[in-house]
Amino acid sequence: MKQPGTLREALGRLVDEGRVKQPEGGWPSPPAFSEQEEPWHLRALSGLGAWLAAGLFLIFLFAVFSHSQVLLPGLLLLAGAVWMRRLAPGGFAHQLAFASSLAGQVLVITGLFDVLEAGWAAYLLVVCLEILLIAVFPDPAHRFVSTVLGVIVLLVWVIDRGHGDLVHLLVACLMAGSLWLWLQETSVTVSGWGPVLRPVAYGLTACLLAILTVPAGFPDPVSHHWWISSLVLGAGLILLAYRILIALGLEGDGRLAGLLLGGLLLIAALSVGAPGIPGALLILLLGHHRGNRPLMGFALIFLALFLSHFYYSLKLTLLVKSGVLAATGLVLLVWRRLLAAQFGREANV
Amino acid sequence: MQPNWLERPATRTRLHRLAEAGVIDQPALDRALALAGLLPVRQTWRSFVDRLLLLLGVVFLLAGVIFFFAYNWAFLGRFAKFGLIEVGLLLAAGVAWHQGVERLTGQAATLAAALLLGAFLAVFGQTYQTGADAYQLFGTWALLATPWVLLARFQPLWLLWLALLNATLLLWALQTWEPRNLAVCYLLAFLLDSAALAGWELSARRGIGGLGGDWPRGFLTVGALFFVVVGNGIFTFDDRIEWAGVGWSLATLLHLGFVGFCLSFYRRRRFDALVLAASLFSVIVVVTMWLIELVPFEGKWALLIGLAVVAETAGAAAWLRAVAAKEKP
Repeated sequence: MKQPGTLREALGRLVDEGRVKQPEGGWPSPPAFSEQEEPWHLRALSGLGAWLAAGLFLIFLFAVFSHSQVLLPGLLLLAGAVWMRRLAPGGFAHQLAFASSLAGQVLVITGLFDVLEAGWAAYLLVVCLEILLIAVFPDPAHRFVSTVLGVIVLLVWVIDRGHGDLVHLLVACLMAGSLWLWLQETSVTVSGWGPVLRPVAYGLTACLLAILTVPAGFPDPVSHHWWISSLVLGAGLILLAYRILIALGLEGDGRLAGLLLGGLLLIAALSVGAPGIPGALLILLLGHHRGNRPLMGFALIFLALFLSHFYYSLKLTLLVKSGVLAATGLVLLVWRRLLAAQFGREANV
Repeated sequence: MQPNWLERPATRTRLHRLAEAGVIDQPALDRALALAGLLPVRQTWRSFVDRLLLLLGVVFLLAGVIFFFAYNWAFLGRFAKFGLIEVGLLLAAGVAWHQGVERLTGQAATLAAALLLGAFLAVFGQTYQTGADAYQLFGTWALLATPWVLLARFQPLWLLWLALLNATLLLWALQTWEPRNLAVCYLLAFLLDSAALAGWELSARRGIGGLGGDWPRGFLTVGALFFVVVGNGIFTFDDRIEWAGVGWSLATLLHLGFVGFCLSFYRRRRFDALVLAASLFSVIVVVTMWLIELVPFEGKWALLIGLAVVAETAGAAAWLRAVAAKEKP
């Protein structure tokens, strides 16, 4: 059957299938429907421009105030930015609000760490501030940045306090948050929380992938037990594969489920020292499942970065790393042959 | 005139907006997304999994091979090393020949052969201490891989080949010239990538070379813009370069010419929002660098330049929004 090209055709098909009743007075125009949806390139331009401007503002602000004086000006700047973004019309005001908010956040974070002597309360307050900003600053790029800043603060706390193994709890939380938000995308949308939670979902996913480069690229200052993250991600991968089977109505196919489970378990076992592999696979599958190309792009770029960082990892010798990668590659190729044979058998039935 | 909202294409954002407004409920939204082809069905999954496993399998396997030879295991003699790589090369070439380079499996095998060729050259240099410079390794690799690149007509292989040429050029310039002339290296890399973009557009329009799709264009444009902006920045800030004024003028002319082409071609002939956004952002960066160099850079000037960046970004975003609104009904 032909794919509906326009909204009229899509709604018509839903009416034909009995999923929606057409109102007698015709379809109501949704609010703000005339607004053009913004492509991600535009949001990226706005975010990069805001960071550039914020950097320049900070040079000015730090020339005027000393480190111990910046908390109050930072709070005032933040409050002004939120007010401007919510009430002032126009592109210039919104862009100025974005840049001022970033500069204000840097001032507030510097001030809090100075006043509270970098104690746990400073970290907690910064995370609370970022959550508050996600709620009150109605801009997708800003919400993404706030999510990323919040996670960075948590990661710095984990490193700074010497609780390195807590990073695996952070990985588990980021994975659970990403999976939940993306798998519930349509119910989140219907509930009206889509504009708030979608950028948060992107932020959590980006942070998850970024954190997974930590074991690969450094002489491991954070944790010596990255196998925990590998197992967590492997479990997430299996859970996601099961959800996909349910969505495709294939959960009753024991042979296919066995093939998938066996392959994923092997990948999880092989990549015990390389959590980036199950991480990248998880986000690739999630992106395809939700028809979300930017997510898949994130995963592919991350995979390239992970492999180049993995090369320099000092935890494993190049020989062991070579074995992990080659064995994973072989498993994937054999797995492909087995799945092709399974699909071929289905087609012949 | 804007068309009636019902006549607009059923995109993901618009269907989400309908659900947010309560026009359709969650099951209807799921169904509408599937109907509009925005969520994968069984057949799409089958083809995706097949491609994903093949490409990732080949990438991981080859990465493993490269890591293995980088380990330079003393246990293995030179004949064993060469034998292993050559068997891999023959195997990859055999699979490509057997499957045919029109099929994905054959293309992936050709990619594998091209990567193994690099491993072979590296091990050759390592074993016989040929004294060859790094740029010679990359240049020879690019040269020897050229027939396979032409034969396979596979976009990842084209991009690998271009990356090898970029590496050759940058390493050659860095090694044979004074380090302070780094800016010239970046301008040469810009010229290479912009020529590759022009070649890619011409080939894609004529349907030759297996080129198509949108993603290589983004890579090439962002790469070219990166090199020309960094080159411009070095000419702007590095006082040690005697002929910095000439270099800066040349870099600015090249940059403006390229941005002018992008803003015209990718707005009128072939709309691409990523290229337009990247071009505009590169102009904002170059103008900012120029302002920083022009004024005595201190507190109040930083604030003023920051405000200029805000105005430029807001103007660029407004223009992009207007262009996108015209492009997509």
